[in-house]
Amino acid sequence: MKNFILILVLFLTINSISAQTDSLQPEQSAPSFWSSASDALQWRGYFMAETRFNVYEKNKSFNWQEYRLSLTPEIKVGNKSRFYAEIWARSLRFPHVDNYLSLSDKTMVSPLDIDLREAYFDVYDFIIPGLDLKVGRQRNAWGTADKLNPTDNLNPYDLEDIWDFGRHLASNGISLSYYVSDFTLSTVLIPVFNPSLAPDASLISLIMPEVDFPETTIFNNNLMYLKYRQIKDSLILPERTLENSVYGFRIEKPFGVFNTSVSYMTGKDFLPAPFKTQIVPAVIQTDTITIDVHSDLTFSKLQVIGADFAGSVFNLGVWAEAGLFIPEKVTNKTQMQLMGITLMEQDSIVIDDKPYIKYVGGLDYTFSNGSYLNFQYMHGFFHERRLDLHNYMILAFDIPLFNSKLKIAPCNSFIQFKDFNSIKDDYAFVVMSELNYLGTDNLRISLGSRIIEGKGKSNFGKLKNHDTVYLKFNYSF
Amino acid sequence: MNKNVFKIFVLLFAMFCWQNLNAQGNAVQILEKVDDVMNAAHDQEVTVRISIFDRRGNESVRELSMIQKGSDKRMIKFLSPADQKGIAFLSLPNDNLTMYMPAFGRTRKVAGHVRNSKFAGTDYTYEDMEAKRYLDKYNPRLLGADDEAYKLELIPKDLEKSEYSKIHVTVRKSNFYPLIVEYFDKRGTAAKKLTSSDIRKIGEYYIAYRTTMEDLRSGTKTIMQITNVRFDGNLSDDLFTERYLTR
Repeated sequence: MKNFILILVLFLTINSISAQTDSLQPEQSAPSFWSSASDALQWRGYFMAETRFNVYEKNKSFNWQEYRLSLTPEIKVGNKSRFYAEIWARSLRFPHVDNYLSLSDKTMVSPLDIDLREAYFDVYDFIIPGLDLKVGRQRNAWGTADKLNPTDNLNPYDLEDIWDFGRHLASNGISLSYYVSDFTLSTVLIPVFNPSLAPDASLISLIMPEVDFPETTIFNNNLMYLKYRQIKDSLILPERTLENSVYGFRIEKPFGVFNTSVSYMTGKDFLPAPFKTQIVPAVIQTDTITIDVHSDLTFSKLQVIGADFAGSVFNLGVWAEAGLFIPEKVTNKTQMQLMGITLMEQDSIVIDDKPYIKYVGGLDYTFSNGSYLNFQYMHGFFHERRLDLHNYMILAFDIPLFNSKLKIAPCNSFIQFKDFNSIKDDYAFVVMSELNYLGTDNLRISLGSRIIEGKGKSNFGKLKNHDTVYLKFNYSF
Repeated sequence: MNKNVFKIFVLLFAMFCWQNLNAQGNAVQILEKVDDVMNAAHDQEVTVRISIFDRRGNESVRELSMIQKGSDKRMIKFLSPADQKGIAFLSLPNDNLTMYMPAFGRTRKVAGHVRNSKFAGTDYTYEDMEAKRYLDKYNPRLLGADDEAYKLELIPKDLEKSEYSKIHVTVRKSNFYPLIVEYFDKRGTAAKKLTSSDIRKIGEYYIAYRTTMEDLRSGTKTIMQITNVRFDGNLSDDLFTERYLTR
């Protein structure tokens, strides 16, 4: 909340300066109905309640419970500036008491968190006409594809709910947009890198790269089996220097019925990589060594050059987006020592510096009865790197019923595979059916299910024991 | 005898052609006047209360604000209900329609397939809501006239793009304001009917404070009631841009 107050004070100060400069400029015409209605502080928001139940036969239990109150205060001062924030007050998941005393701890019995999702102010025509300034905790959504955007890399990912594709955290930063002719030039600076938010412990394996630890080693000329007792890591955040800041720029231009853009950003990889690993033998038996492993992880540098377009061809909505990822090489130095003697030492490349491309292409169509079809093909999920890029085919199909009071999505689904030739052995297939009730203004009730099948090393295949049904209420005000 | 018959035939044919050409010319002139009346203001700004009635008569309400400059630039922004507030559309010449969804923080060009779908649950389509001059989009033909009104038939110039095969427009003779617009689907069946009422003269301009769009197939209807209007507020061209759409 400190950030929120700071941004509000800064907003009011700049606003007063901006108001003084306004008085020197000729009055610009603006729609009076819009601006007069918004001079005062306006509050909007929604309340969302969602419960999920794991229906996998060996694991039947509630696995998600979220009650979220989202509040969005907004002030528009004339047509010159605007303050906006989004605050979540949430009761997320379940009580996590682990001893008798913790029953007296409200944060453990009934966990509640306040999350400042965004808080920023805009100043329009800042210094020169056509230049817009945005300062504060902000989300800079780049790319034109539908939720899955390989060029959207400025803000860290928010993977708390892995089924809410494309959700990002906002970042504390500053951005400028300059509108000249048909062009929009944008630049964003996020001074301090912020890592992504991972899913909770039960699902974090979904985004963790698999590490193959050796199973044997030679000790005193004997073949010894390795037994891992403890695997720990230390995460080292990049220093808070300008060198480690995240920044980027983007040029947008419409061509007829197409929006196009090219972009460049430099920042950090979303996932940490190990650069130093210590293996310490704890117990040595005749043919087995029990060992502890400790890895130091850091976030390596990443640059992304992006391009995208979205528009219409033969009545179909079409879009494509691609990012050329240029990573920094990360080498992991592994050492195994016993009583000061180095038993093993090896360097292995964790991230190579060869560039690779992630891309997505899609189309959508609305039928005359209002049914909506959306198909996307994606190469490379956000956390995947060069050697681990998978392919995803994603289908969504909504059918409105009873004058759109009900919407049914019977076969929303996606399939993940690495190589089409080996799809039988390495795939994930997820079907996400949903029934939505929209009969009352501002209210949406969703009943849905996710059935997951998988084989091999596919990320989503790891969730095959997480078949889920859910019920969600959302009321906007 | 034969020569006379031939002369009469030629004369009748010439009269028929003249009358037809004249009617065609009249139709163009009438539609031109309709366009002039509908787009007379240099710019306009209106707020509208939209009541949507299902076939059982249940009502749901929306409120939107619209600005228009000339005959081909229009922006619409939803003010209510809460779950639609901030959704905005920008209509520019050459079928250039852009949508802004605040939840995604992105603008997107509206593809052709969306133009013929319902606009925000109303009985209007995106095509109906576009800023346009009829004469740019349709070829008119005069169907008839009585003491009070002309009746025109409009055929879309680009049948591929339009969801309609034809439109019948009843135009009031006294002020060239369209009173009734009947839309026919591709099979030639009457699909929708738009009725304008409570037509007022504000300064030099006519405007219908109440328009009712009936879907003749589903039995639903949408009433748009103007709650506020302002003409010639000297709106800046900068407002009709994606930059402003997102604010």
